[in-house]
Amino acid sequence: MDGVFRMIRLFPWAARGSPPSAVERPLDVVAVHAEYADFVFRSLQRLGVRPPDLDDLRQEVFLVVHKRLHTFDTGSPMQAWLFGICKNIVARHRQRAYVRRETTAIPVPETSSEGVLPSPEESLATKQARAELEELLDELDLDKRAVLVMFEIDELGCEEIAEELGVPVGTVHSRLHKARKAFEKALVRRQARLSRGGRR
Amino acid sequence: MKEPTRWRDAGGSAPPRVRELFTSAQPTRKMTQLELARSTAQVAQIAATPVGVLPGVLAKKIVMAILGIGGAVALVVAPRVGQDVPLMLKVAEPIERVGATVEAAGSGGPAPEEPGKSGERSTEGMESRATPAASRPAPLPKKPARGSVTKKVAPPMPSPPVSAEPVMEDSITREIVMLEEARRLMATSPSEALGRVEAHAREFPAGRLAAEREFLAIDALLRLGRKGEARARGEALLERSSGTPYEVRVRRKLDEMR
Repeated sequence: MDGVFRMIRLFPWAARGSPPSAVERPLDVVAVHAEYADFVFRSLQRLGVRPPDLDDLRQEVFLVVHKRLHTFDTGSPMQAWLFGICKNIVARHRQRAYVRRETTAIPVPETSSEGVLPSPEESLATKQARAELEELLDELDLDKRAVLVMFEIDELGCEEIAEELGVPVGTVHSRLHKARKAFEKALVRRQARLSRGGRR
Repeated sequence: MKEPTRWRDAGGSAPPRVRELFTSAQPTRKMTQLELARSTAQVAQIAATPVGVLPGVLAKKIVMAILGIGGAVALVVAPRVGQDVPLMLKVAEPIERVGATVEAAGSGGPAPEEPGKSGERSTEGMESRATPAASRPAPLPKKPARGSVTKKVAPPMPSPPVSAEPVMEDSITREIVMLEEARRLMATSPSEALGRVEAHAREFPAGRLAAEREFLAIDALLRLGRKGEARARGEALLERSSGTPYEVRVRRKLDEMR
């Protein structure tokens, strides 16, 4: 039954009995983009893509979608398929030398949550904390990283995460548990390095 | 299954430093309308490319090249001498839809359906389709008969094309098209790319893509070997774009110059 609803969601024109409009036409990269552009954009951020690279990687994702759309199994969730593509592209992106050595300035908002301008010290502390967080998240594998960001930062529930990633809720719980452990270990390692006087 | 407590919430079992780090984190953000418009334009170009033409890693470059060549966008300057006629855009299918999508995004309304599929479509502000006759090449002039007197007649002024109505009134879409054209030319002809960038600067001095334009200008100057100018503009852009994604891109560019 679930499959039927999914098919209706993917092919609404079939349920209506009229030919598809341009927007509804299935298996077309433009239609996929119209529906899932924001999901791809957010997934890339969750997988650790820095703002300057988002545009290029988003394009790469839709190039792959265009090339591989005929291989998409219409019985499976589109978001899970897209997330898989994002993951492969980000994994390749991580291998590139300039990504490995680059540290990115993450913009700090000009006002704090109270609407007051933060002091320079606060700004600096926030900037450093975000850089450290990114560094630690980068040590996790992509699946764990995504789940941790979705749960802890984007504050999605486990069921929402499961739906977005196309995995069972139990898998989300398990990944979250492992991600937290891995994050804590990465933090301990980092602090040990710092106490030994290393750069990181 | 019970939902775990978040680390940054009270009762979350996180170590203090972990809580601090996650409290400072920014949630992932949505695409802005500008990013969405740009992305839609790019995807429309991707969709216009046959799948078999995309050869792996070079696919992106080819798509960028197709931006201007493949017939998606053609700039048509109305050829009236001595008149101040604005630059007209003649746009093929994908971008036409993008223009409409952007308009819809601006007004909050739904995007229009593809022409010919729905049968109902408003033509207001959109290009009327060129008739097949108008798109056929003009017939060759007949040879004059031997012995006949031939007069030198000035060639008639070419009339503007039937479809020379502005297709996209949305300025942001137009900015995107102009800068994508510059980007396409960058590898093969940086001087032409610079020309496009300057044209954008004349038309949109305070355009929404001014920073992107400046970045492209720096790239073009660098490719033309005008390092001094490139550096000066790069440093000026760096000052203006502190804390934005351009900061990293410009720094990378400036590093290349060293």
